[in-house]
Amino acid sequence: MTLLNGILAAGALAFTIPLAIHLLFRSRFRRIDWGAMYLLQDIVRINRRRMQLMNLLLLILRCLIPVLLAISLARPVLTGAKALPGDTPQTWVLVIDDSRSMSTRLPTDSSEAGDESGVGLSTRFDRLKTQLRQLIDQQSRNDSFLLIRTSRAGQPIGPLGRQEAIREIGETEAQAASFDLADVLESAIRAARDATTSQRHILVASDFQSHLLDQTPVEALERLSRLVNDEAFPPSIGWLNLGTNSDQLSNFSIDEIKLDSPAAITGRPTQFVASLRSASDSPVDGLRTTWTVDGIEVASRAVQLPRRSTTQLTFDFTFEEAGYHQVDVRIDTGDALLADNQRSYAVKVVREVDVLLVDGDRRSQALDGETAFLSLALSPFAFANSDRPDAVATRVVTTGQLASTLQKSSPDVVVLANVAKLNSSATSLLVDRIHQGLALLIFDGDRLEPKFYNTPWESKQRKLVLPAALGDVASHPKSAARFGDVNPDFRPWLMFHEAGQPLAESSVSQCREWNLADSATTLLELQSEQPLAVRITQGRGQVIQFALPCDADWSDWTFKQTFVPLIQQLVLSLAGTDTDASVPVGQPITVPIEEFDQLAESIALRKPTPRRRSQDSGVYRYRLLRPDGQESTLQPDFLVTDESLSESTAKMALTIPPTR
Amino acid sequence: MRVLDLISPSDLSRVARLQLLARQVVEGFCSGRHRSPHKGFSVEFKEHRQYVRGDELRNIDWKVFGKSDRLFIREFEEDTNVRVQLVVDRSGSMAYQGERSDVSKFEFAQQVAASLAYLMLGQQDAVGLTLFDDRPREQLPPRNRPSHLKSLLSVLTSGTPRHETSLGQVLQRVASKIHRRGLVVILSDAMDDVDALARPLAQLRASHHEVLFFRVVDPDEVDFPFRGRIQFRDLENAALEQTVDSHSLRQAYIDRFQAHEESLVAMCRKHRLDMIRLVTNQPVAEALHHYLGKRRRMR
Repeated sequence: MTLLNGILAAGALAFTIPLAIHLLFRSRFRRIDWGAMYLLQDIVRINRRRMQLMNLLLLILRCLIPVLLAISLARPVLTGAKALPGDTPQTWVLVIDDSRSMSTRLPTDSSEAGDESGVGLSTRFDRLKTQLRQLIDQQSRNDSFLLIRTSRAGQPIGPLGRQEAIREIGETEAQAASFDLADVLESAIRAARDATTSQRHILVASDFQSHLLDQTPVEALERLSRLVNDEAFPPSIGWLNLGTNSDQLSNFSIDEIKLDSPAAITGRPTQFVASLRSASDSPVDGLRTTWTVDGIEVASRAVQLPRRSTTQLTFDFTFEEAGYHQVDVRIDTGDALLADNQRSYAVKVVREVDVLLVDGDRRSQALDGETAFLSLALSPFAFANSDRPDAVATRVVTTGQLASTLQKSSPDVVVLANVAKLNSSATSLLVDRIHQGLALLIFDGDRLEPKFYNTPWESKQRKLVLPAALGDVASHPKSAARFGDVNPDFRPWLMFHEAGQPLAESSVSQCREWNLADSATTLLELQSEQPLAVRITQGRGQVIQFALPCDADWSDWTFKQTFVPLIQQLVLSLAGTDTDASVPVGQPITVPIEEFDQLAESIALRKPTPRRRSQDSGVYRYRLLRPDGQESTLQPDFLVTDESLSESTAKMALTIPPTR
Repeated sequence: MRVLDLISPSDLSRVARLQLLARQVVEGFCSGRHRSPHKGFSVEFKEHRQYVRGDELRNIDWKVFGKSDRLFIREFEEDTNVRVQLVVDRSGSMAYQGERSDVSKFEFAQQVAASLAYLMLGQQDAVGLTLFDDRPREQLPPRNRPSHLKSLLSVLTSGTPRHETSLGQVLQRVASKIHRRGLVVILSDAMDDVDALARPLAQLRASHHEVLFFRVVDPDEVDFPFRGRIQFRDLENAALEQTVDSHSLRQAYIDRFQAHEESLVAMCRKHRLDMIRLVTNQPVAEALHHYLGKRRRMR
């Protein structure tokens, strides 16, 4: 036996109260000089033992009352084989797979187990709802239910009564991404731990796609097993498999769509590639697919697919206007799961990135100047005379031409390559343009004058302090100083961090020593942890400073394969062309406050109804409205717990997950 | 010798109070304040007898002379004098006074005895007194002089209740000392063995004495109204005490009291004598009714 609220058993010590009262009053009595002792004495003599026994029983009873009360409040339960049968309250933790695969349409011949009606159900999720409803109806009204959706495993709903649970399940939709089975099970076990009953059951209702188990390591399952065994009241775990006859379903899906061109540039063909997969056992001939750009059908073709195979669909399109565009590809044939027959891709189309290279030591010979390698890295197709578009158009000017060039044009990026110093007008223009959004790259070299770079740059209204104050140039023995790791928080270079330090092939013979500003962020460093590239932001722009030149003078990095992608990714990110406009299903998109107002749909927020408020147990959901007042299909997935929050405050906390 | 030579002024005041009270009781009784089923009390005509020389002229029945022309003397009850021995219990148990009573059992017995003595002496009966506890303590022989009242009252008010009760032994000794037929009035709470009374009562009845047994009890001794934890200390033996939960004993005590009284009644009935329960919160004059009824039957 064990106690659910063991701490309350300490109340049994209250038995000392009646005992103390008994002992206290035993010593208190009234004295009477009595004249009929002749009669009283006989009675006392006859009844003494009986009275003593009665008093003792009364005392025991009075002492037992607090003990029994404390034990009953501590809620003793018989565990294991001694568990009480009958109407013992139970707690059910229902894990509901609300991933998209649960929207698979089932065959009309529903001879699958559990379908007692014999009538075909529309989707697996409908069948899940029906079976769970039947299960809940069979339980007693003393039972309680906790619901865990696999899309929100960390937010169990409940405890709920029978009707509440049925209603909540009825309002759930299967539109979420895949989930981690081990994480979901762990959430269920922890939710069951908080139950107030000793009998606890976990039921996982899912189609149990093969990847769920494939992706679940054995160690995770062992850990879960230990977690269950360590519980005071181990829950039973059951499985409701709704994924039967999956092999009989003929499903086609668009698994992926991506941009095959390095960049989407206006006026130049942009190529997209979609991955089309067949899960059918039969080959397909004439499967119609359609490409759509911004809602307008552009291309349609029939595809041949062997049984259980994947093929690539290519699509070329020339965008005329810069900005975000939506490219969709869909399969026009109905199958078991319609939701995966279409996929969308948002692409940011840009005009060419204008990069102004300021060569501090311009030479007439090719590849002799400071900016030769940069030009090659940024516009490789142009150098190769290829038709393929380069995302970047470079211009090279001298130090003296910088100011006038800035006055006539507005480049996206300015690169100072081994520039000794600048005149005041150029400096002033740079300071103002950086504040307005210009990105400045500074590459080191033997011509730099530290005094100029270590002094704040000024315009009429602003002042700019560079991220690093120049020190001496230090020499390193050959092969002693190699590139180390990049800052994993710097997204443009994330590929180099994940790839296992491919930059280490680059070595440094000389390198500038710095005195970093407090606000500087290191982007790249040597293996000795000496910084090589640092950054600061100023207004809407930023400054990135390198401790190396962008040629082969102090290092061999310009000859390495990593140089081109390193520079390209950096420049494109500075120009704002690497923004990921497409987010995988189930992942949240964080919308910056400044861009929230630019959304096409209304920013109006409608406060929740009292019914919704009670459902969420004090937690409120705001709903986005379209300009016509209807609810947007894109709804926020966040919870506001303070009713007093104003709409503006709620807006700042908004994150919007994609639901399709 | 004056009364003050025998008793102190404080005792005299007690005596005076008791006498006054007794007088009030009797006069109140006589004036009809205390209604009684017994008709009158004064001297009653008994019979006529021939006049002989020396008889008092005031007793000549002139109506009979007018009818018969012969002289007859009227004889009255008062001529039949009774010798009364008051036997009053002065044991420790008689000192009990409950909250519902104004007087203790002994004080009540004093008032009853004084009132009876007053009444009896007024009727020219001879009254004697015996105060007892475990043995006779004070004794006065029966006298019918009116001045004997003060002596009786003085003895009644002397001393305080103490010692144990031994009613049977005392009655035995009283019975052996009373030689002339008379009336024995017992005033006691009878908190003693009932069986011990059998022989002395039988002896008294065998001597043709009439016995009137007034059992004096306090209301508390009748219904045992106590609650809570109480230590009862014996008034006759201070060393004897019982600490009990009185409420749990109440019914048993009441049953015991009634059984004891029933055995007393049975004992008295067996020996053809009257036992009357007097409760100390009742009027003293109640006792006089029973006395007069008894007195009438003794003609």
